[in-house]
Amino acid sequence: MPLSVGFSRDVENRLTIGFSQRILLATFPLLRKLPVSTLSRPYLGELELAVLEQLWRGGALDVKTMHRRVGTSRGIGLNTIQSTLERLFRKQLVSREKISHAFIYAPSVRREELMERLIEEVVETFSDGSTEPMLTAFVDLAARVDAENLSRLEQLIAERRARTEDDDS
Amino acid sequence: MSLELGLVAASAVIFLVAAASASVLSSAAFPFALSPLCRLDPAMRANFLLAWSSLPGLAGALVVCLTLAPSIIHGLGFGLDHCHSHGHHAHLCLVHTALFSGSTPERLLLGTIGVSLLAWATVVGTRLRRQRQVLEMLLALGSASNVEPRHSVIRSRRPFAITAGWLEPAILISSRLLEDLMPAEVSTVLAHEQAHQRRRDGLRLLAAESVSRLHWPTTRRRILGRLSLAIEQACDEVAARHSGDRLGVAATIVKLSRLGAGEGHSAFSTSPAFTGADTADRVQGLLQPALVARPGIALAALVLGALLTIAGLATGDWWHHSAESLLSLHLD
Repeated sequence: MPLSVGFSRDVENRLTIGFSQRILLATFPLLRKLPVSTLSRPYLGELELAVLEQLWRGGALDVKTMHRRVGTSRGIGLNTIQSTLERLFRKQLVSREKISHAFIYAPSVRREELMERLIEEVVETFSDGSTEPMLTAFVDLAARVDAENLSRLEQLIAERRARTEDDDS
Repeated sequence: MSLELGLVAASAVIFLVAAASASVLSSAAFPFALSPLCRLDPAMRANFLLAWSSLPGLAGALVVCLTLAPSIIHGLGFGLDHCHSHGHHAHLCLVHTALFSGSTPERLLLGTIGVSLLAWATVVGTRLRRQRQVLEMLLALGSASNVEPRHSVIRSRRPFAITAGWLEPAILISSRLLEDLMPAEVSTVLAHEQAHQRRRDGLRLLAAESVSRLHWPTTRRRILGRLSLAIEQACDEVAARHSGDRLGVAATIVKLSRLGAGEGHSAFSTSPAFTGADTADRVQGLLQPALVARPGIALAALVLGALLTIAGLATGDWWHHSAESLLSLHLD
């Protein structure tokens, strides 16, 4: 059952971001100014990812339909699917709406959005906020090469290529 | 015999003093080493810089080993019990010295070291765990390649190619990069990233980041910056050999930098605060002919290391007595 029946969505979200984070927020009120997504860094297991995948493909679904699509082939019960959706809701990755007696779940983040967030986290956690580049990337992800320098480099490459072609011919 | 410090704490003090001395020497010598290092091919330069990053720690460990060498040699059944040869000294000795004295200074010292190590291990462990999780999620969410293992295309409006992970690195390429680059350029980027994957460069950087903690901070930043550049250049060389076109690799680097800059921001908002100096250095490196690998230098370095170790062992007694004097360990 949802934890927050009778509460507004805002309160509901705050209630579901976790006990430790509530202690953190109470201790350091300034953290409240941060967006919730900065505070909650969800780990998504295989089943959660499969459920999200299904929502991205098929749009809004109720628990029973989700169970038919994801649970049956895995031999997973309806309750497991329900708790998986509940976890995704707490992580603010899906939204839900009560229609009749059932919740209808819909993705609240796009796949691209989640991937971008994760990629940012890869960069952030690999660099650990330090000044040392700890991530191997084809182009320095933090590079701030100004356009003038890039033009100068392009010119150098073009000159060298022209000279090489002259030498060859 | 009374010792303020037991063997463990005394060894820790010797380690720290030797590491600090090596750190000072390293800071003084590094500017002079840069020029010869730049004449090495990037792969070998990266190896030398990785070794350099570990110098204080290595020096500390070596001096501790040399200090304890007489008792180790005796313990192995070679040589006489050296402890009888200097009656006026207390001993740093595996045979006679207690591991812990229980004194307050010792508790404070070991407590501080222990807490620091624990805090560091917790931070690094948390980072490693989280990175592995995020990487696995990205691999699951991305479009996996049917041909290459641990390659994934990430749908993103940002142009990037990353090799992430330590033991089993994965290559993440953005859909934007695939759209904006020509097939030959994509092939160059892939060759570069696959070189990172094969060489496990993420692991090298993690090792360097960890073992270089005993360096002076400014020197450490310079070493890690140079190491990162050498690693990128080593993979540029692999990509250049793969494509047979050094200038093409240089042009791809500039093109991708321009694509990132064209967004009006760098590829990522949260990232290491390095300037774009690496891009210019890498392009300049590719404009020059490839540096020839000189395996003789690595062999010479190994021989030099072996000779220094032998010299250290031959003077083991001197190190042993010097350490004891340093710690002012005297018999009652």
